[in-house]
Amino acid sequence: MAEELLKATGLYHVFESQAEEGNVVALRGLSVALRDGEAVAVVGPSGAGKSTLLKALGGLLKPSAGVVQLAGEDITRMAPEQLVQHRRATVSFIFQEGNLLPHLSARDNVLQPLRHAGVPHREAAARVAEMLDYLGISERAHALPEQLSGGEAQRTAIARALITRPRLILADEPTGSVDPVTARSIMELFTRLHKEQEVAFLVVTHSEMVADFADRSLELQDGRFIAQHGEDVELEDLALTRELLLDAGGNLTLTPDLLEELGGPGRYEVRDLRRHRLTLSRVMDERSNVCEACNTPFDGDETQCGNCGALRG
Amino acid sequence: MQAAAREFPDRTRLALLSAWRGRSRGLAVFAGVFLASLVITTVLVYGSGLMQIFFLNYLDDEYYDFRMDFHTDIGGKGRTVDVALWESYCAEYEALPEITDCAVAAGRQGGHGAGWFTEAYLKPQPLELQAWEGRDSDWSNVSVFLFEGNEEGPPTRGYRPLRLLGPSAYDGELAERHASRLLRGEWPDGGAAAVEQRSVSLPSQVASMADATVGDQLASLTFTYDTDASKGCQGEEVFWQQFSYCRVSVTLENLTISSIFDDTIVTSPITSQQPVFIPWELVPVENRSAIIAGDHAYLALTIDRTALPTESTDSAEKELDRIQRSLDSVALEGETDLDGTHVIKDLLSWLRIQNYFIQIFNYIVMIPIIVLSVSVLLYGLLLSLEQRRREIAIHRVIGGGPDALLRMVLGELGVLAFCAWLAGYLLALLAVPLILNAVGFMQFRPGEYDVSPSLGLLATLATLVVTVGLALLFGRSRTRDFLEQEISEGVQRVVVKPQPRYWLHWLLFGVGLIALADSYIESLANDGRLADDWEKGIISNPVLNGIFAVLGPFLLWIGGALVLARLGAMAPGMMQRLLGRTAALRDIGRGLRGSGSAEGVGKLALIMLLTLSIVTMAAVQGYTGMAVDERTASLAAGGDLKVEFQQPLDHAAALATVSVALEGTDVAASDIRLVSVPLIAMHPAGDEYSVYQTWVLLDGSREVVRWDRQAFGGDPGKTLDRLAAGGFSYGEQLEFSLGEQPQLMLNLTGGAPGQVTVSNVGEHTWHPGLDTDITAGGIFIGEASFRTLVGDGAVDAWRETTWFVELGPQGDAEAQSAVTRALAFDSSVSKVTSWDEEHREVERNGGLVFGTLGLLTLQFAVATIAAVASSFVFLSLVLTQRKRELAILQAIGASEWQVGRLVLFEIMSITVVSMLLGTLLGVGISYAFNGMFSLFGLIFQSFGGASTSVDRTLVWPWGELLVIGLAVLAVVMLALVWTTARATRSDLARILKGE
Ligand SMILES: Nc1ncnc2c1ncn2[C@@H]1O[C@H](COP(=O)(O)OP(=O)(O)O)[C@@H](O)[C@H]1O
Ligand SMILES: [Mg+2]
Repeated sequence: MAEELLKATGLYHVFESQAEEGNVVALRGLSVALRDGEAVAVVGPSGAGKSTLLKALGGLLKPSAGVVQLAGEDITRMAPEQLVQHRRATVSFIFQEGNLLPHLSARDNVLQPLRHAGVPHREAAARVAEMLDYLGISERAHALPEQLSGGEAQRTAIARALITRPRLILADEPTGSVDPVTARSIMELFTRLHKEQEVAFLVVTHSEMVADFADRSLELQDGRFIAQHGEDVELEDLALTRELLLDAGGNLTLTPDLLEELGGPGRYEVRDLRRHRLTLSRVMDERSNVCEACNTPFDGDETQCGNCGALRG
Repeated sequence: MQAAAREFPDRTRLALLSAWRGRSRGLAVFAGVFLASLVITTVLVYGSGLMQIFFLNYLDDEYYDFRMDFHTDIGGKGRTVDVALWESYCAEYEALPEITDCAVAAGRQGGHGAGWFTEAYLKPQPLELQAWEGRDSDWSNVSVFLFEGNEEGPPTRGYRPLRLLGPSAYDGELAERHASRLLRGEWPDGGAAAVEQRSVSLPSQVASMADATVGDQLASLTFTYDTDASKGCQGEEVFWQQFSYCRVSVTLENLTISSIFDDTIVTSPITSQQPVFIPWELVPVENRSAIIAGDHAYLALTIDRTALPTESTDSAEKELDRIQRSLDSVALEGETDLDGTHVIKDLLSWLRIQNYFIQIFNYIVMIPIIVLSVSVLLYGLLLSLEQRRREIAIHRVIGGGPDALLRMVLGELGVLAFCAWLAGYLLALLAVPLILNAVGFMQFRPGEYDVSPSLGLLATLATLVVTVGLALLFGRSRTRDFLEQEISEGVQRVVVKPQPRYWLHWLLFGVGLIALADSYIESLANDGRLADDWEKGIISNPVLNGIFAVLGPFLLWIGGALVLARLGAMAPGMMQRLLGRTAALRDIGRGLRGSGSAEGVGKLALIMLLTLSIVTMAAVQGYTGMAVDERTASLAAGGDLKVEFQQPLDHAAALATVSVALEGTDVAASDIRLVSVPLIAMHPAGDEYSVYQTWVLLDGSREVVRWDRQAFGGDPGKTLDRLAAGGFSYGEQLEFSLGEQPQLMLNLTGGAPGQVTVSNVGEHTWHPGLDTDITAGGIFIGEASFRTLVGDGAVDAWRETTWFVELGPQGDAEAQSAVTRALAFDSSVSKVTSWDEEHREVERNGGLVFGTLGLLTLQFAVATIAAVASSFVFLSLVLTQRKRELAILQAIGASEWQVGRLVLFEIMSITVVSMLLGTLLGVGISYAFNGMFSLFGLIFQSFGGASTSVDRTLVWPWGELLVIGLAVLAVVMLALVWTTARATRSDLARILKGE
């Protein structure tokens, strides 16, 4: 087994808001790990926190609590400039919309990461030409983003992500806004990269086809993983499975119905621990008095943090 | 380093490319920096140009730049009486690179001390003309005395001075300077020719008194000089004031008048009397030697005046001092010790004080426009950076570090701002000469002054730092914000927009309103429309009053704009409430409810208010200033011309004299009209002891005299009608005795019988062309009353010395000056004042400062451009931001026209309301500023020596303001149509998808 490329433990994220609904807790104590060269899909309903997770894993967003280790280094505690350096060497992002720079041609868009990385222009230009060729968009190299079709734009975005030769690609619904044919060719491209160059993938998707490409899928709901599926798992069956994920960080995530059956959130003590088997029982007194996510003291018997909405541990 | 150089072409290409492709958002920044640079540079350059003009103006009146005199007093060391040696010194001075010409000269004795009103200042006397005798014309009554001799400068005995000029004054630079002042004849071509011709050059006043022309001969001319009396006086001993002089006289014979020069140009006080010029070599050698011994001789030196630095008096003075030091260090043959004196040194210190006041005033006047351009700059930056937010986020995702991104944004901003600065700077350099040549608000007479004002390196850098620096500083803090926000997007911290400090806006506005009320009440009280108790306004403490007078207008302006901008931004809502019931606007109301563009549009309202209030203020003050200048000119000249004759003349004789002077102009004798203001003495029937000076306003005076509203405080035509119908008006000093009398029965004083009854038509302030102080103590009556008193015959044959002339339709500036010049040669005329020349004079010294109208024109133009340009730029930015919103409206079924109408309604109501409010605010600040303008006007008038203070009654140019308002509206419409069309036509799906 290859070493761990990405390892996140206890991720909480709270979006503060002044709207009536109050704060939004997008991530609730998530943990996830990814090995080098592994392809993982993240699935889940809209608003589950997939994009937030992706941003937190890639260092675009600092989670409210928790640790993200990328290539062995904790990126939640890095200075901005250092973080940029580290990210540059390891990850690239692909979004649903190309997110191309509107004033630059396709070629200049692809060239831009190398410019930021300080790669000499001549070498960078050669690499870009090669990359555009590889993705089959050489003829459109001088077009501006607004002149590109959806598929071309997305391929340009992919080229831009690949040009830095990352070890990990974080993709947020990469095929979400292209037609099925283009989507298929993009996925073929991903597969090729995955197989030939051993690039690791974490892909957020709604698409079965994309999930198929992954070695395993993680299902996210309400800011928590509710299930993990192997390659043989059918997407339709997800809701029926009662498999729980005990992740590498040691976190166990329960679906809400299971939680309810257990008697709601609270403190549990280990009653029986053997290999492959764990029995928990509820501790009825003394509960944690401060919120894990935002350090606000709990008020009385609340089960949810009044400040950030996180569940009481 | 090397790597950076290698990457340079690619990076530059990229920066230029994205600057170009992102030009619409760059436009706002460009416009802001451009305006700021234009305005700030103009104000600075204007100061330097003004100094240059003053300097050149006064320099022009001087023939020489330096004079060299003996260092010691008569009888001291280091002197010589050797004529040949003295004449040889010029060669040594001309060897200095700075000196362009040098000539031996003799005239007023050199002073060997410093300071005014010391012996060294009071004792020196000129060469005095004692007698002359004509050959071709009669010179017997051409006086050698100057009556105005003691008016300016150190006292003299009152004889007309004489100046002897060495041969090199007849060639080179000195000859050019003399030749430029000639009215008739030629300056002799070289020293030899001057001696051979026995040339004499006369002041025009002398020539006109003698009725002499070029080529006429003087049989003899006698002058005296003061000489060294240490070994006994050879001539006549003269005591004058507390000094004694030994005067020797010289008589020259058979002189020929070679030229006549313009003696109306006022020189510096030291040399204010106009001399007669005669070649030095015509004087016998032994006299020349005595003239040298008597301290009359000096060396007249010229330098290249265009090489003098003129950006400040200090630098000019430094340069002059340097030249003076190098002159003083020249070692002369025979160990003679000469001192250089700079001729206009006294002038310089005077100029410095005057310029100081002018600059302060101009800086104050330009503050609003500077504030305006800076705020355009800041808002432009704000909007344009806002549009980069997403782009910066993308860059961060693909590996751009915060520092690199900051550099990138600032690099682009820097290039853009630099170009804008350069454009503004260059335009300012081009515009300033034009501004300095402004003769009125929006009126120019180019070419009158040839100045090439420039800015020193330091000042140039200052404009660069202030404009580009400001843009970069602001851009940096904004970009930093974006960068920080992006990394911690949404985490823990929600950016709460601080509430604007409305209480502060209201406070500023309130204080400004108090100042306005104070200044308005003061002006009402001064006009007599309010009781005198109100003369000090609401604030009577003088210090507080001064602070309010200067700060008030600005507080009113800024506070008013901030407060009223909210009102402007609320306009769509209010309009909708007003018009919402109508069918056409019902769906608009629905659309508006959802529109969330209030912030951007609120800023548009603010900018509109700021600009239009300045436009209004500049136009009002500009036209008012022009009216004040014209009023001042009318006060001095009365009509097109004011001709004062030596003796009283009747209408026919005066007309005949003036008609002769029309020769060579386009004015026909039949076009001109003349009128005098007969002055008689009258007393009330039965009270012979209270005599009133009475001026008769003849019927012709209506057309000839340039009447003004201020003369009677109201429509002058009406008052003139009532005077003609048997009325009288009284001067200010008679208010007590006559103010309440409805009727007066008047008798002629001094012999002749005659009685008339006149009715009171009110007070008069002044009569154009007459001395205000004197008319304030008398009364005016009409022609009919006059005829009743003295009879038709006497009226028609009435003689007066002063006649006002109207030159008719052809009487433009050129004709006026030609006629003035011709009349000046007429021996029966003692003085001619032309309205046009008076007007020019006033523009320079009077009313307000020289070129202030030009500055106001600039302010007006810049504010107008800013109003038009910012409405365009801001609208297109605001609408680009609203693209999505408009697309949604379209997506849910609104037609293009409906969307267009919605936007049109919203923006137009804001613009129109803001413009109206802005104009209103402008009216307010015009009043508020008026106090300050009249204060400074007074200061400058006292510098210029004008005595009568002229009212600054505001003039309201509504027509111009309307045109500008319409122009702004038209541009707003255009911008709207353009941007809305762009927004509605672009791919809906793409817009909705994006961001
Ligand atoms: N910038 C933000 N501010 C406030 N709430 C946000 C922000 N971004 C996302 N959220 C909220 O966080 C939750 C998760 O969002 P997201 O990660 O985008 O979900 P997904 O990608 O799974 O659809 C949602 O409820 C969303 O409304
Ligand atoms: Mg998402």
